[in-house]
Amino acid sequence: MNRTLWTVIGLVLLAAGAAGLLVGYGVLSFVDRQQVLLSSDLIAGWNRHKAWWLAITIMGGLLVALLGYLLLRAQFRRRGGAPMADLYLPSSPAPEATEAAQFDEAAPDRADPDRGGIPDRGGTEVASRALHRALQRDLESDQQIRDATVRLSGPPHHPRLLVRLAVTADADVGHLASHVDRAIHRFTTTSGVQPDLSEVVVRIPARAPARVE
Amino acid sequence: MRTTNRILSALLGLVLLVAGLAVAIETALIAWGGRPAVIPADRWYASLRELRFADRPFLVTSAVVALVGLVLLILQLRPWPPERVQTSAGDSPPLSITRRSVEHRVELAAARAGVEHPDSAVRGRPGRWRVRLRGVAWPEQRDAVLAAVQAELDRLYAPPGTPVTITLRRPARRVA
Repeated sequence: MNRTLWTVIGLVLLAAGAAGLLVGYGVLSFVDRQQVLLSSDLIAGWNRHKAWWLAITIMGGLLVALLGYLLLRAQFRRRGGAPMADLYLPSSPAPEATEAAQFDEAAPDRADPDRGGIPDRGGTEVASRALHRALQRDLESDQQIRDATVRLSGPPHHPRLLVRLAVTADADVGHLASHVDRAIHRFTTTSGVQPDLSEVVVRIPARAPARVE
Repeated sequence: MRTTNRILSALLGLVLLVAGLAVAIETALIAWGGRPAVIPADRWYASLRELRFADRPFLVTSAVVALVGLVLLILQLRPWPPERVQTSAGDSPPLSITRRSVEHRVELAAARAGVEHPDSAVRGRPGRWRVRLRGVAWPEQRDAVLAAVQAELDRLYAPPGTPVTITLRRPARRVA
């Protein structure tokens, strides 16, 4: 996004600067190079609709400030979007309640305590942070990984997963790939969350690995 | 360049936020019969009423603006080195390594093979990249250096057939 923005800014500045030079050197015949920048016509136009111009300037200033705020906020937003929401796992209905509902259609709704049914058995809420930490710790359990950063974003049951690994100098890249696969498999088995792995990036330190002679 | 763009964008955002608010507040003050508190509107008005398109300050400002725009365009449109490169390890997606890591590892491998002042650069796209190595060594060391670099790339699971270009400069004098 920033690259596109600065390309457009570059284009606009180049066009504005070139237009200024062309006018200044009299290349554009329809503009008088001896004319002042703030001409009497412009001032007359402003004075004719002064209230409107003042309102437009105020609105323009506020719009520019809003754009500036959005641009500033976008620079501090982390990659991958907002983190996934907490995971809610509803408990399965009681077997006896299901059977009774199947065979006795006249029976009240057994899941509704107000109608004489069995109270809702509730569910389990798993904090998104806990899921992040669980996967991170599992990844860091390998001796070749010094630090792991994970980012889960999107729908809680099928989030997008970004993984960053800082590894030791002698880390084996193939081993790391299979370790990440196994960690994600374990994560899916234990949490029921099936992440869509979108990126695994490894950073290897600059120093030479320890060699065994 | 990505970091530079991010810093520039943050600064631009801050400038737009402050300038936009200043213009809105100062204009509101003028609209309600007051005088601008921060913006020297009277001085700017007087300058713009005197300055002509043919005047030197206007021409110099236009030239500087055009030059800045041109530099920005060149910097943004020229090919950027990839931030990370894909390896052949892992399935979907393949595992990636940061470009700097690959460059450092190639330089270390070259240094172990006897290259002085090795300087490596990874270019291309994340899925299809190439390595360029420059350094100081004797021409007869070239094969050994190439083998060392390729062994290091194999260790990093670089895609098979990743192109390697080696440019060696002769040392100033042979050490006996």
